[in-house]
Amino acid sequence: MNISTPSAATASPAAKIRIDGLSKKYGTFTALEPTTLDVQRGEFLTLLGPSGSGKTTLLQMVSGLTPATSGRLSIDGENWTDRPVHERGMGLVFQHYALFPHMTVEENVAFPLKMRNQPADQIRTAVAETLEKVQLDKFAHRFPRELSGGQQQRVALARCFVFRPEIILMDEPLGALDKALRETMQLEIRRLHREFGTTLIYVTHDQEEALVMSDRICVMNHAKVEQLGTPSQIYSDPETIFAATFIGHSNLLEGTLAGTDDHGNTLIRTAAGTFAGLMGARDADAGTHALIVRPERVSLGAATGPGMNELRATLRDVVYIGSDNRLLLDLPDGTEFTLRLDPGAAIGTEIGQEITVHWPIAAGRVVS
Amino acid sequence: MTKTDRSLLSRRSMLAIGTAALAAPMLGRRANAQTASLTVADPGGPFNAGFSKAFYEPFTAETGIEIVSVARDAEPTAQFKSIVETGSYIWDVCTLTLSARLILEQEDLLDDIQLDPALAENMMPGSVHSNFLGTDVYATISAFNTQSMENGPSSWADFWDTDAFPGRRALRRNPIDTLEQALMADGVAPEDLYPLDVDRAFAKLDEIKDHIDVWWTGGAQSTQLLQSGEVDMLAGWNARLQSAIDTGTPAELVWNQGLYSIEGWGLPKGGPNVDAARQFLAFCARPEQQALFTDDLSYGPTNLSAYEHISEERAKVLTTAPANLDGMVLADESWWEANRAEMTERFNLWLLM
Amino acid sequence: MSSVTSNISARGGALSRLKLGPLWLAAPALAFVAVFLLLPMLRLIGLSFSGEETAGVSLEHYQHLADTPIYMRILWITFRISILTAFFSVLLGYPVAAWLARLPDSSRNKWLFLVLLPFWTSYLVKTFAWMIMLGDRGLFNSILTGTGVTDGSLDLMYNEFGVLVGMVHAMMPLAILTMVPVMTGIDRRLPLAAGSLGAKRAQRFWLIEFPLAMPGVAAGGLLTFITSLGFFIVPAYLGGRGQTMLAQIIIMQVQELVNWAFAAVLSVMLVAAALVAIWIYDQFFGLSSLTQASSTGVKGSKKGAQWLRGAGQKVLAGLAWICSPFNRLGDRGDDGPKPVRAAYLGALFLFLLAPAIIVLPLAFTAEQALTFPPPSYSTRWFSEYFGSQIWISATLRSFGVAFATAILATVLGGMAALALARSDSKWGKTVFGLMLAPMIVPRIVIAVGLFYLMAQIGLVASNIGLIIGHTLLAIPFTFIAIGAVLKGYDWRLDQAAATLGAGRIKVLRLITLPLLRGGIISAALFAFVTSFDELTIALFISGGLKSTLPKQMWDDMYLQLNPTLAAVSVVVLVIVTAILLLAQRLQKS
Repeated sequence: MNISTPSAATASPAAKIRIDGLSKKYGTFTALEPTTLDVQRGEFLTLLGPSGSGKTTLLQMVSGLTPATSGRLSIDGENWTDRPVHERGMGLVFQHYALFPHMTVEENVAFPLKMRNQPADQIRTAVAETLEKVQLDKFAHRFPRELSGGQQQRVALARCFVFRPEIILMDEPLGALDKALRETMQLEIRRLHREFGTTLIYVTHDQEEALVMSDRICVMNHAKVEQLGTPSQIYSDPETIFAATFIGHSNLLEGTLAGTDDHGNTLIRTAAGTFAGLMGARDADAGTHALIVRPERVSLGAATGPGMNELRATLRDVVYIGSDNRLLLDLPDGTEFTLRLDPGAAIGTEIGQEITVHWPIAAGRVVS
Repeated sequence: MTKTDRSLLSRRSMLAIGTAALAAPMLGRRANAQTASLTVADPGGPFNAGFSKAFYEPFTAETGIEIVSVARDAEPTAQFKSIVETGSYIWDVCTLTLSARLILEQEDLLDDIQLDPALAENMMPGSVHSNFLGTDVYATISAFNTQSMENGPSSWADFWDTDAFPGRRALRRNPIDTLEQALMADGVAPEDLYPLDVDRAFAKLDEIKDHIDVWWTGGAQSTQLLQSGEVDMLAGWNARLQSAIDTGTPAELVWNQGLYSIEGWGLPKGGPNVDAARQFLAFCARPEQQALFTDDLSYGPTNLSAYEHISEERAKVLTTAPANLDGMVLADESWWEANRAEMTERFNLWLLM
Repeated sequence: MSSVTSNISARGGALSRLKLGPLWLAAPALAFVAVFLLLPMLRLIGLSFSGEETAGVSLEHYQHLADTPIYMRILWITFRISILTAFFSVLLGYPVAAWLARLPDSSRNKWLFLVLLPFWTSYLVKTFAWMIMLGDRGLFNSILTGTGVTDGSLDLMYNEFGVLVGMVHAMMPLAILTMVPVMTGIDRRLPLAAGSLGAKRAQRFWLIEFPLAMPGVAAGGLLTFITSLGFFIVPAYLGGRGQTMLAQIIIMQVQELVNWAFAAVLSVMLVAAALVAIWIYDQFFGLSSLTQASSTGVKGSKKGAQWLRGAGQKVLAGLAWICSPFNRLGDRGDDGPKPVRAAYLGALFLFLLAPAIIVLPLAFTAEQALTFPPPSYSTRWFSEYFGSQIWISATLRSFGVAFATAILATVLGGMAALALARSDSKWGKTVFGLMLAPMIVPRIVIAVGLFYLMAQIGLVASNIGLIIGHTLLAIPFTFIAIGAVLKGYDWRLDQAAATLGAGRIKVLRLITLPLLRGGIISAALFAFVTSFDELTIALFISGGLKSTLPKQMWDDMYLQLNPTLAAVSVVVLVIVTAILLLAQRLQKS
């Protein structure tokens, strides 16, 4: 796996899509800072971020729907920056599907094949096959408005996969679906992706979805890339406060850097004390720093040996959420601190009393 | 169903010509005891200005009865009919053409004017009827643009002669007058026109059909055609053509072989203010009053004594001035009354062919 | 799935709340149309079957119609001119509508204003402006011969071309205004999606954009066709001897020949022609799509629609193929090369605004005659206008009548639209047809029929009579305008408000009406303008002392064509512009 950062692209020559300094400005408003990024052949890359983070802009520039202000887009080493949309042959799936309302399901799915002037019988076979694959063969003659949201979504997928595009771009395709349906469709898209071996860029603001589906995640915020990596890298080795808080739940202890300890761990002085952690931030000089600890890495009781951090706080509440118990602690300065325990584990402390917790130094990351 | 059919029938008969009067609600009626004002429908525009000066204002000054003038439609017969049939008298007096008079008389929609015969002594022949007082005489004549043509057509035969008088031409989009013009162009003497030899007229019209550039419909349009230079010669009503000249258009009127007709007052039958209305009509018959409207209107007064009060120069452009009247003939309304529908259909079809 | 079910239950809940069924809301408007349109129409039909002598039912007038070739010929000419008018209005208006639909709301409103401006200019003024421009010595011919483009003058007027210029100019705003809502309702990503699926420029247009705009195109064509059927001013003044339309003949029968029965026969013909056009439209698109701001395409359930769909798709694919040489245009995401588009839009707006542009200097001429450009300028014609009791009182009357009409028509039409939007009743279609009936029946027919009714109940020459007549004409406009916004209204908001404790009146006042305000204001505006510019009804109903402004202008124009008319037109334009700007302000705040 190849990790590239906005500042230094360490691209492999085999990259399917090479985004090289692409940026977008609308007047004085910057929708995307110059961004560099490689996507490998057959990879499932997710652009993850809140609205306004620039993820859709980036996707649209790759698709050709939006011309780039600067930068270069290469596909298979060829410059595609100015190539018109309909010559890119990329599959696009839109948030609200963008099905043609005046065409039946069958006609919608056949549309890209007709545009490629394929013979009619070939089109018929391909459409039937694809509809079967998304379990819509019985709905071929319906109009989109006669279908449910999930069915419409599957038509959109079928219309995209039917012409076997080498690259598929999806812009929040599951945004309009309810949770259960969304989970089913996530697996469906993963299955189709694997089956067809396509290179897929997927835009979402749902971190869970990103974790479930992606080979790699590109976390975006404020019109630029925050961090790029595999789901587990992003989760366990966040580089920025934003990446750490946007993905999963984190305890965040803000403070100032206080040098390093004997083992080379970074020390950070916070309101709740000075702690040691691994340096995660790319830029050690950046303004605000914080120590990040995932709640499941924290245990009850005093430190059991070296290489541990220890913390005392007041137990405010215990919340049972099925898979585990969540303990909410208040630090002296009012910061909230969370840890997760097995539901069966004994707590041994009454609500309102002081409690001591600890976690391994290696589980903490100092980010900026 | 029977009920619906019956009501439909009764509505039909209300609209149908010459059927018995309906028991219409009399909402429009006003008290008759003391007439404070009369509502008079005139054609508006210059008529209103001329008539106000000649009739309305002096009448009010003399009698104290106020005159409220309103504009009526170009063809008020339909409106007139419903006014009488439904009893909603929105007018007390209305201007009518002779042909409208004839239609309304046949349907018994006009009230008697009871004019003192002494007042009618010097009036044009045909301008006073038992239910009609002619106020002005208008004529259908021709005019030509003196800038584009040195010598204009002086007769209808000339008008038809496209070789001797090249140029753009306009005629009225109506068989009335146009058929007469065609016959005169074909050599029929004005006094022998009626009854019209229709086939001969249409045959003559065929000759000029492709040379007519504009078939005009409204009076103001004929003014505009002459004024803007859109056509070089055209047939039209004398006052309309004159008003183009009055605004500076280089044009000349041709009175020879003109057809004149008379316009005047009629009273809707059974109106609430009929006595005051008759008083008003008698006032309008006076020559000195009639002379006054000729300042604004280039139509001729019906009371020929009015010329004693009109300047010689103004008289030149008035229909009833002797020099103009000589070459003209009175259009026969009764022939038209009998044949108008048929002629209109035939004329319109001829136009489209 | 769940969202669909909740939608259905939402609808059911709303329906049960109105116990009598929402269709009852249409009752006042229906009664209005029944009394003031259907009743007079029935009389005319009865009259058309009357005999000259006999009292019973007779076909003699129809016999006459069949025996005389002229009427069939005039009917054909009327059809031909109306179809050509509708065709060119839609064809030339389409690019404008498509462009307007893509603009952001605020600038779209600004440009729509320029489309509405010619719509507000009185027919009479527009026609006379065209006469000044198209004449033998008119503006265009002066330019053409002056610059040496042509040797002699071209015949631009007193022929079919002149009629079409006048009629297309009058009807194109209607076509554009009908198409724009449908086009704004089209999901703008669809052509993009098609592009990503490999569709080139021509294919994107003919296979996606055009079919989706088709309901708007067809509705625009239908409305312009039907309205054109009843024209009489334009063919009378701009046509030659070959351009006689049915409405002219009807007016002649009534006003000159006083042959009511035959006028009734011709009116029935005219109405029948309109009904046939509507029937055809309904077969293919469904009548209700007239008020639909969304693009659902060809109606699937109709017989023959399947066949039509297939045929239509083939035709469109063919068109896409034919246009493929132009595929390179607009491949960079923009639609059409900008200079060409700008030139076209510029020319079209110039065409639309030309009469207003001509009228403006004419109003300030110092001359008696309407020569263009005026040799010298003055404000004498404005002094004439403002100094004239007749003009001022006519202006005030028009204002009052238009204001009352706007309120009455908006309430009646709005309630009917609300009724239809909330009802699934099978009577909905009938109600719909009745609401549009005043638009289908030519005005001259309505005017003649109303005149007798009004006379009977003593409302001739009364403001009330005028308001009734104008409201009748305005109801279809308010009905359609409010119906269009109701289509896009989320009824769950009402329910949400109800659950928060708002009673039905409060829901209406605090939620529904504020959200629909834009539609309601534009509906009222339409009604106001319909009344303010109305001539045909006023010709009959506003006799006597109660002349409206258009009636006064007509009288003036018929008798003495002088620049007062231009001055009055300018005053009217200023008034209406002010009203629109006010309405836009209200809509924003």
